[in-house]
Amino acid sequence: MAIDETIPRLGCGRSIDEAWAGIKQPPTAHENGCVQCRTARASLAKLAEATRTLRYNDAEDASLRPHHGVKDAIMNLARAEVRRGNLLPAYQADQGAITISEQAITSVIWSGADALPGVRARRCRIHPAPDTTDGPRSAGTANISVNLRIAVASSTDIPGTAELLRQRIISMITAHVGLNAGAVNITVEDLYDV
Amino acid sequence: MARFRAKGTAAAMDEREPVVLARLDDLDEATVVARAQDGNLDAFEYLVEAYQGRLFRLAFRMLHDRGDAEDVVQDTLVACWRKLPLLIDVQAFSGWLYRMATNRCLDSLRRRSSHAEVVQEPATLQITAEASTEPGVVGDPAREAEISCEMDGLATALLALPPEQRACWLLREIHERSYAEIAATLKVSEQTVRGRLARARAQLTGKMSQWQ
Repeated sequence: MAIDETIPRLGCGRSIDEAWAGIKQPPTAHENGCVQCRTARASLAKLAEATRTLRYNDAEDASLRPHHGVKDAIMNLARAEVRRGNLLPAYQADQGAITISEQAITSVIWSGADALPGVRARRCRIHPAPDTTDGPRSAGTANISVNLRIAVASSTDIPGTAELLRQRIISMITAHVGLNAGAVNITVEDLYDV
Repeated sequence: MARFRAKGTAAAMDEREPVVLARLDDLDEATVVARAQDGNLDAFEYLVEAYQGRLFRLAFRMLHDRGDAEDVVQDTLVACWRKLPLLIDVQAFSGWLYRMATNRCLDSLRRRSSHAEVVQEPATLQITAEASTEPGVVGDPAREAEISCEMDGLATALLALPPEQRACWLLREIHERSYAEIAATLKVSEQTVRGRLARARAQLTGKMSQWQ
């Protein structure tokens, strides 16, 4: 590995890294006087220019994109292996049970959060509340507990916003899913600048 | 705010607030990644759209073959979908994706060198070099031709670098990844990354001065 860490040096003893680091600044006294440094600066500046052009041209070049079939194949596979999370019991009757996917409830929760300014809802885990996991129950009475991670705008009043979000989540879950959100735990994992 | 008002109107008509998610463009990437982690296909598709071009350009400049580059993009993003729930730090998403893509490129080159007779055809080089320089340069035809010639030269010189040096150079200079991330990607020290970059630059400038 030693060879890997060796940085090439110019004849005058300066490393090519030092010459590179300085190409955006005016030449130093040594660089003005040293033929090798002047040559190195000139060729590194030319490389820097060519690099910028390559970066720009490649990014703009419509032919340097994968064929659209690539994205189709990726999305087909993702749809075939879609993850809907846990299935939660929503309603139990003598004739059978109704379950609802964690993902369906999560969409309702995200939607409730998205309408609140300064809140971005991230990962969401939903569990059946422990005291309702077995035994028959009637519609509208199943309890779930929600664990939601959010990012909030840096200027936001965190406790006030989190409480408002909790109330919205509880009412939206009742309105759309017919379940009771017994516990809504909110974790603020990040702040973002507006 | 228009979004909020529209929702208010709808809620008044229906009593229930409709289930409408924010436009993904209005969210930060970490939030989109988190939603894809929870299985949201729209969020994942948004990420595929955002990254497929970048990953393709990396793979194409590494492998110089469209089909192989497309395979890398597809493998990387499929692995991304499968492993996403395991990603702990959403902020690390792009570095994680670049790491998977880079390692797939290096694997692909190792497989190639084990069936030794894959040689780069000069004709293919010509076609891609032309394709990669046509747009984006406007104005003076003489300067255009000069730039186009430089780009051909740089793209060709890149292919002569050892794969790991090429990866270092592309990740740093074209994709602007950090030294720490490149070091983690290639499982080497940052000092090694700096060494490889310096040697890549020395070799590239050497080749460029030959064209004059």
